[in-house]
Amino acid sequence: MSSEQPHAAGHDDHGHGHGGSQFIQHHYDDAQHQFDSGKMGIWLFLAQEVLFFSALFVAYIIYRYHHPEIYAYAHKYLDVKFGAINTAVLIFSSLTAAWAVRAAQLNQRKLLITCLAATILCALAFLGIKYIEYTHKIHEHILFGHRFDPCVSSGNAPLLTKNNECPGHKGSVLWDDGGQKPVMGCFAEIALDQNPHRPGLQVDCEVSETVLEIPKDAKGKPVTDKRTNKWAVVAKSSTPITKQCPPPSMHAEHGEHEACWRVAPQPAVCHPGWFFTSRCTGGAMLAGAPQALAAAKQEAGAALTALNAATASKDEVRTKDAKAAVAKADAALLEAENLADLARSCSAGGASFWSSDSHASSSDCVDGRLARDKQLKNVRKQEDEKLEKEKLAIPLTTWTLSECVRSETTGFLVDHGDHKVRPFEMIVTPKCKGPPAPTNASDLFAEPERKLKLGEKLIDPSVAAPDAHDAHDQLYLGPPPEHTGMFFTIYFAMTGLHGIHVLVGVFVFIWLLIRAIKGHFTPDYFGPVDFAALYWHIVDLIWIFLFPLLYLIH
Amino acid sequence: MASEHHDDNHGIAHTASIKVLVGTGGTLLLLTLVTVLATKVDFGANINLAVAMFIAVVKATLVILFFMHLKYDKLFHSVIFVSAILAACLFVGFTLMDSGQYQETNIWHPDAPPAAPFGPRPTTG
Repeated sequence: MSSEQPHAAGHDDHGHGHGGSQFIQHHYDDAQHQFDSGKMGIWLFLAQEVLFFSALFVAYIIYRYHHPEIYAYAHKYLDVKFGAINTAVLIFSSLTAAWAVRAAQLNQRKLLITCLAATILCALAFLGIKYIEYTHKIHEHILFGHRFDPCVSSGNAPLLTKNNECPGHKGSVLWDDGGQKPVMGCFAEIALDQNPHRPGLQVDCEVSETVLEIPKDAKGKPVTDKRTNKWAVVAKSSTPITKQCPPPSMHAEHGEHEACWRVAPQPAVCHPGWFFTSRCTGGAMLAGAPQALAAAKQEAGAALTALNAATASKDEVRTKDAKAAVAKADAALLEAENLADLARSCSAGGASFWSSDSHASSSDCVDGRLARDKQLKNVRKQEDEKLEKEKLAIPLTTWTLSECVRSETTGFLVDHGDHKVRPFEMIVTPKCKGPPAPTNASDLFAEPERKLKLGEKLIDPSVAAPDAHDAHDQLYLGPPPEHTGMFFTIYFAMTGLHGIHVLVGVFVFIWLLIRAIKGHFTPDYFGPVDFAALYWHIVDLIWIFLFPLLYLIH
Repeated sequence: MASEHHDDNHGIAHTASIKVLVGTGGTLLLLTLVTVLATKVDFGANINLAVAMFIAVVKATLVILFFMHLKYDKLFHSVIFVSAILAACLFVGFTLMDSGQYQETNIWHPDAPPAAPFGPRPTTG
């Protein structure tokens, strides 16, 4: 089977009496002598490997002793499944490596080739899984030292990020360090008392602008929803707003630019041309209503003045006309009032408002409850008047500069980037994805399901007692403790160096495989297989410790 | 335990029997599963760590004795390797013993920077 016979020429020349392989060097007495020398060499090397890795374990111990909270928190970023699979893969490859030695000793060439190939495949599988793990961590900014800036907490709760640029998240939160409050971002109902490394909610939203139509009956009256006693509204057309506004500091608020949306935290500051609608669930906005109200007031005033003048002049025709004009203006005024009240609280959350009315006082927006009470009164008033006088007039007004502050909710702002006229029956409808789904509970290796409830206030892990069970739960659901990146410094140093050892092993075993195919290994010359297998076992052995120390921290 | 059954000393070194190899590999895989399952049970952080480390040591011993043939190997190789392990234990042991001496504030915190004993006085205004 082998073209190269054990008794090659050349070797007999030395007269050492080597009874075997051509690979027995002439400076050894015999095969046994060569094997024993090599074996002692590899054991010395392995002893050195133990010392080499022990330095890393010492670093691990010092940091873990000092910061148990970091380890309890950070290991949740590691997937036990991957760690366990890799352990099994390495153990299996150790078995095949040990079997390869046996095959070489017994001159079972085909089995030797099979075992070496299996070992190489296992090593590659190990590296493949490592690649998946590392890629995920790089993608999610779960890196060493100051590069640790993850998008989600170890409990899978989304986190605020320092740089606001997590891949796959269109919206996240910008933090104002000075004011200790978010500049922009969607938090749903979460408490806003955290800092950039503390949790908030990142959302992935699709925002569209919908033009509404208020259907009218045969008499031209708006159709009223019987249940809510409000005007029935249907969507006519929808335009997506794909662009998200840049941070306010970089945002040209007065120049002409493409329409964009942003999540407005509390307090929201709205500028001319911005539509605001409440919460992530949607809402409605009726712009232009206050302008219409002001105009109607003015008209009613003018009509009243005209009526007074007509009465004074005692001209009956003029008085009659003026009375009709006053009645008309009064009806228009009532309609405008209704419209304005509806606009204030038309969304489900009662939290929509508009900006750009130079006459609107900030209190119109600030006190949502007041606005709602007023609206309720108006609904009754509407019932009294039976809505007969309702007529729709779409006020066209130009945007003027003003500032409107609301302190009640988080919502969406759409900056149109121009100061053009908007029809009032336009709403902004955001559709947002919720927080990431919890891991599958039926999975053997999965963590028990612990979903962060939105709005749940988190205990600051740096002060939490790591022993208390609740505190432990909070610990890894919440924001990372200070210097969590340190864990990943150790993690990458240890697994990285171990991975390099695996990579070296791959090359060594490929070399062995080639030699095995060539038929170099015989019962009296199998040293390289044995030594490489010993090296491979040490690599496995180190992983046996790394796995529980990094992946299985309780 | 160099029985003729699986310690047939033919050739220049000990040959492991298939039974020993597969038995060791199977035990190692089983112990891996035990380690994973053991973390699911809450014995308290320290006991859990001790259990995990104990299983790891058992696994390492199995690897060294059977996969690495140290049980059947020359005593000198055991001496080399065990002395390395002892040295590593010494490092780790002294690190653990010394942990009481670690300073609490050896990490700079932006909110509470350590007071500078020397240097220019802070200027006001």
